[in-house]
Amino acid sequence: MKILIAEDDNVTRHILEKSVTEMDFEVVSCKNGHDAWKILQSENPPHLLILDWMMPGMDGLEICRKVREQAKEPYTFILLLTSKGEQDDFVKGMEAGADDYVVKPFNHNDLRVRLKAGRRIVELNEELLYVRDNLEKQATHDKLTGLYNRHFMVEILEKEFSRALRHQSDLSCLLLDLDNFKDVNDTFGHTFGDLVLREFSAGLEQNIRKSDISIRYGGEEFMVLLPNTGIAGAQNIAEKIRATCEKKRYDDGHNSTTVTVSIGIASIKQHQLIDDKEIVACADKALYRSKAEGRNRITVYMKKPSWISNNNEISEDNNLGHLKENIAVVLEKTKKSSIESLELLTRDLSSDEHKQHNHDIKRYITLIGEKLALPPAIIETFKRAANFHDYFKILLRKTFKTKHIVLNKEERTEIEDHPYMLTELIDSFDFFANEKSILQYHHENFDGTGYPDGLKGNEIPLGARIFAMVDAITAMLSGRLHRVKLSPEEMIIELADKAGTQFDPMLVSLFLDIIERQELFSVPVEALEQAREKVCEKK
Amino acid sequence: MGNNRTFDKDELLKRFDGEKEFLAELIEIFANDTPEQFSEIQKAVDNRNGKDLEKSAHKLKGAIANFGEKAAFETALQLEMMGRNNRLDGVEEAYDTLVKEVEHLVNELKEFVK
Repeated sequence: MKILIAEDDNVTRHILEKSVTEMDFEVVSCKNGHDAWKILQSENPPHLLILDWMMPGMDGLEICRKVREQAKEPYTFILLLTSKGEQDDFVKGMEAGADDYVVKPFNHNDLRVRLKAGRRIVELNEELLYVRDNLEKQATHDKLTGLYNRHFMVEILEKEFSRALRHQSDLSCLLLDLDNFKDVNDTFGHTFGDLVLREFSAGLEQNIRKSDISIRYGGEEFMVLLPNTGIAGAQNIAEKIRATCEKKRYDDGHNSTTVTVSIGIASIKQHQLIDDKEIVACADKALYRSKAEGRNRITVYMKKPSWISNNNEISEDNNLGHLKENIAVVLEKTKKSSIESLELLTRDLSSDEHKQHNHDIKRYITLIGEKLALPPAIIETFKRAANFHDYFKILLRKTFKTKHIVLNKEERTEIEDHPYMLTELIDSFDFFANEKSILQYHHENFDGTGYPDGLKGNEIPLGARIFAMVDAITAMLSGRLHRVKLSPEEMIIELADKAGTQFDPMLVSLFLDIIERQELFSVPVEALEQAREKVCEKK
Repeated sequence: MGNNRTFDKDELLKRFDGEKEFLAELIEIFANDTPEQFSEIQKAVDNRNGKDLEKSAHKLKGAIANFGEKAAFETALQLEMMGRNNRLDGVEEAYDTLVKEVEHLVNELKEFVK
């Protein structure tokens, strides 16, 4: 431990230096009060002081008072030296802030025990401060990553937000979420997942400035607050974080993987925010869009989804062409994000060779398509097919590898490239195929007199038959579609009348049962009975 | 005074755990410092400056105290008090006495550690 000796008399100082050195203190000494004060203001100053009372410049008492006024941490223990015959003054010394005193000429043992007590007090105080700082850190920091925790986030966000409003400066908020992190945990275990979280956090801190605040917001969710930073600066930092994450390889010697991150951004000025909860909500919505549009990207919060706000305003007129175009824009986004999600799945599996192959194929498709003057949308479709083909093959290879099915090379190639296999997979993306059949056939009649195709009986898809009936029922009961509004009883009669012609009689009697069991409408039992009989005749 | 022993040699040696070499070091420092200390006291006396006298005499007194000596210590204390109370009657005489006593002490100490 360092100790300061301030004594103007050379003989006394020499004796003090010797005693203290024998006690294994590291000695810093000086001859007057001003030098003593200078040493105390330096970096890493001594916390144990032996001060002579009477010194040129600044005397011991004055230093005592100033040290107590500053009250630095850890505690500074002060031993005051007084001369024989001045013992009465020690009260004055202690009142000025000295902890103990020694009378000159001092006895070596006297000095030793007093310094030992002083050292004990400083050490105890240091320990206490260490524990306090640790507790403070635990309360505000996340144990795994060392970033601030969510608990502290509430406090700091409120502070930073109101500071920004007060100074009319800007504040940006990034919300980050690691993509498909559950897969990392499921594939490599939670220990590896923790490694990813730790290393991602370390990388995160390297991409932000000292004044920025990074927080572990949840499991694999993070927040970065950027004081004095507008939307453009925030986008820069977010993109840096995203790009760094994408390039980084996580490796524990056994397993190795890459991870991507989706980011949502909001700023006080850009989004005219007045409440700190708003900035998080906006960043969260933007993050959601990053996820929905295929992950591994940054999104600035926008009040309306971009496909409505920019140049693609849905037009007011009822022109079907316009409507189709607008819907096509929505679908284009969906298709793009589907393919990008798929690409992300294959990211760690595809080799450079694969990527080159995929790139070449798409290039040739474009060249040929343009030569044939095909519409760009068609060329896009062809290129997407090429992507699906390549990604599916890569994923199929992984699947068969992990299943430990022993196949020779030809068998494998055949399975991976088999049209049925590939169509079965692409069918999963044809997610509205079933809905389409209902929309197409809900005006068909059971007896084959409907349109557009004049299908009959069970040729009409079940969904279309159900929809046709329930749609008619609600229309009858509400008087919709230029009909006279019918009472439930009248509706039942009409339903029974049209069973077998317009409606599927099986469905009609099924619905009559439901009406009775669930007491859907208040209908006399006799009416139901009559209707049932009528339907039975037609079956 | 004169050739009288002014300090207890055994006591002094005990105070420094019998380390004669260290004691010799201290005596060397003391002997080297005294001329400057005297001139400071002399200046205060000449200027009739009580405050400076108090300070300079106090400092020398502290140095003397380390050797467990009585006579020079008492004279230095006397000068210090004169300065503190700013009652400077007989200050020159006291100063002359102090010089003699300290010189005597230095000689005795040097003799002791030879």
